[in-house]
Amino acid sequence: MYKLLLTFRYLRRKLIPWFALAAVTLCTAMVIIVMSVMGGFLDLVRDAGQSLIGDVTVRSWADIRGFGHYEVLIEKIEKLPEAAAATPIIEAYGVVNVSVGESSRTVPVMVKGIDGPGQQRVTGYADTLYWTDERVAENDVGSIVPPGENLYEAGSNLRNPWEAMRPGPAIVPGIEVSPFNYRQDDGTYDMGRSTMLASQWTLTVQPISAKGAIDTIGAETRIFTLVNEFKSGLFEADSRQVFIPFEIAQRMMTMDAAEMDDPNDPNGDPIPVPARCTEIQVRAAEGVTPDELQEAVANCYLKLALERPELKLSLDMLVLTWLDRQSTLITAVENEKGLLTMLFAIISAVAVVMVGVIFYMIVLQKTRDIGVLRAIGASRAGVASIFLVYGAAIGLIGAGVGTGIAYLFMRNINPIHTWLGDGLGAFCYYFGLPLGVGVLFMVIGLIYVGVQTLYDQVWWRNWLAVAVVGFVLIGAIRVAGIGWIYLWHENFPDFHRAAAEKGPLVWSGIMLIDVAWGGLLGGVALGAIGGLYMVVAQHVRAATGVRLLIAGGIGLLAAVLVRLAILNTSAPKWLSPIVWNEKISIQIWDRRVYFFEEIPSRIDGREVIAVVIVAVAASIVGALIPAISAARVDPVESLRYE
Amino acid sequence: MPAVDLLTTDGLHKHYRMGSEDLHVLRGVTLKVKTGEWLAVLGGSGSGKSTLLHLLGGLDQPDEGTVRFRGHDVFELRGGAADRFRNENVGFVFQFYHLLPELNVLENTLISAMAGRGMLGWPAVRGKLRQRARALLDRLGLSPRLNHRPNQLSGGERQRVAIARAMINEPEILLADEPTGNLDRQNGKQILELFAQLHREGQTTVMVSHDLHVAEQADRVLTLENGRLIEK
Repeated sequence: MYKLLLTFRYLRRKLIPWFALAAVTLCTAMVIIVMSVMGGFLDLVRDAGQSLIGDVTVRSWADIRGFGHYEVLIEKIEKLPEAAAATPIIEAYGVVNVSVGESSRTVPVMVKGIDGPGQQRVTGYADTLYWTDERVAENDVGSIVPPGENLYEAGSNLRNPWEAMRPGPAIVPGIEVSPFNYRQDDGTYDMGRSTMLASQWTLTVQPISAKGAIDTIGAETRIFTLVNEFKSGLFEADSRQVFIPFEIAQRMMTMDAAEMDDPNDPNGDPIPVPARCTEIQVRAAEGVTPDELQEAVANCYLKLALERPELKLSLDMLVLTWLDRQSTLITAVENEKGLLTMLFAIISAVAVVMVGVIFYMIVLQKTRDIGVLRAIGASRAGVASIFLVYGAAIGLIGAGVGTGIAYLFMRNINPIHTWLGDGLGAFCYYFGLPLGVGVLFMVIGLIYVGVQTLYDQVWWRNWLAVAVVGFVLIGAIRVAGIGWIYLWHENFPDFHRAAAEKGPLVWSGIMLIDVAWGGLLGGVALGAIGGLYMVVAQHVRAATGVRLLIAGGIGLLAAVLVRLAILNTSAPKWLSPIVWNEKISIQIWDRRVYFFEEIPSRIDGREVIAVVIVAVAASIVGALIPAISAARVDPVESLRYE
Repeated sequence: MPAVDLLTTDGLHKHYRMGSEDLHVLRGVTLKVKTGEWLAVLGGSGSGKSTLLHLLGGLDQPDEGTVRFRGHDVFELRGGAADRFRNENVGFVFQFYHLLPELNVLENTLISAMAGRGMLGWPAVRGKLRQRARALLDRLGLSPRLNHRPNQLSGGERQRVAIARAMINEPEILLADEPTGNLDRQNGKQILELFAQLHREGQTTVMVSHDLHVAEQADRVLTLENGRLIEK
């Protein structure tokens, strides 16, 4: 029982364990955040991949010529209990040319000929369409849409609502295909002024015959009208892919039904050539896994090929799950997740070392108390278990708090990210000057406090006391100063204008932040001067007043030097508040690089439990060596001398 | 009840190495302590008084010789049995009190009782022992100080808490190492009066001191000189 009592008391009365607690907390939070973000990223990639290609795909083995009698196969597949829907696709490579005014761009694309409703049943294709009624209203492009028309419906069915005005089949490109779509820093698109709706796109493809010959007569070109755009979330698709109606694609690729001369009997009847597609996408029925569907579809295909030899179905076919097709990307992300988790776990080993070092310091400090405990009959194991229980308590509390912090962080990761990117930058710009001075003092103060804490755990209270006094003093001076500027001084028009624009409530908030910030820096500065005083007191033999003057002088000189350096134009660039703004603004997730508008996150309960268990175990491991040292303390030696 | 031999030592030797020097602190100490006896061991600084006390309490091991408690060799006890022996039969009082700074007066008193009982055993006796601790502290004049921490107490009060801690398990023998050595005259007198009172109630006590005036309060005084005990 004394073990729990002492553990509890050591936790409450000692400052040092809080450092260990902070290390465990931060490491736990860090690992959970990394795992959650990477897990969320993985989920997004998976969802995006699945929404593009369905659960299972039937296609020729490394052959873009396609295969015939797909209608028969689709009919058979749709009768399978494992399948919910199937749809044919024509996949080809092409080039699109798009013109806006004087500007004209030509970009390579992957063309997908789809049956809109069929594709919707299999992949939920319409859910990726960008132009919904809300977006049309938001971007103020309603005037372009013909009366009574609906762009979402037009995109879903690949129907051209501008047929009368701009004839041609419909095209739905990925949102990044158009070179005129401007993606903003926050991941959204500015489409109001440069919408491509109703624009005409010239698509050129190269037809390939059933025998695999490239049509030497020439490429096939048609003009399409953009009726909608899609945004799947997968950059590769959104920047390279265009959807056009299935029949149009079939015709352009000369994959529609035709007749050809029999080479063995030139005078005989022409041989019918069936219409072809390049792949069939299948959606699994409710509760059926892609693997189960894959097996069922493969069996179905083989059965059909054997039962109806007249269809001449090729056995060089592949039945792939969506995971097989996206495996390159998903495996890369999975590997990245594993690697990052491992890296952060290694970094977290620092926490174990820190717990060990801190506990060792406590054991050294508590040697006499350990001797007393041994004298009154506490066993070696009992003494060791005090520190093990202590380690476990720090691990539990640290892991618990870390999990809480991680949860709150993940719940608000996007606002935090926005603040780090924008708010912090503005904040640093606004408070650039005090930041420079403050950082200097903060570094001096923290280093000194750190060193002092190792040797003397009482001194920090003096530092804190000085810092609090500084906070109050400097805070009061800033309140007076800002109040004076705001109320009476006429030479700060920007200040007055800003105040008038923001309104009294916002302005009061800004003032409060300013006062708190200034007060904090002042407190830290005074604390640092107090620290300097302690250093001077140790090394200079003089009256207290003289020592104080020396310390204050050094502090003041440092502050003046930093201020001068910042204000001076020839000062090193890194001292400028603008550079600080750039340096401190953090873009963890650059939306221009990654395609998702928001940082994904997924907190996996099992992963969190595993991290918590590891954190507690690591804390116990960290406390193990100090605990063994404590158990080995010789009570006679520890009690012999004062 | 007739007095019997509670603690006996036979030919205790103890060496210490101080650098290259070998200090032979105890040179064949033989001693008998009867139940209810108050024995004082007088000796100068570095004479080996504390070492003798640690050996009597089973806290340290002799290089030679035995310590028997009610006829049983203390140093034959191993591990948990030795710890239990100290917890149940011996109460230590130190010159510098050695209270645990994180605990208050009541907890410092109870810590000995807690150390002897496991997590499961403690709840069953908790109420009884808290009552005993309160009564003991009340008797020592510390009732108003139950929730105070050691740094809020005077030297005399701290030593009284240390005595309460030593007495909470009702040990057979109290081993006091210069219990008044760190106190002023008035507080020292009060502590000695307390030992006298405990002695009158039948408490067996071995006290070591460098102060003849303090040692003279005991029934019997032995002097430790050149590692040997001499009766005066």
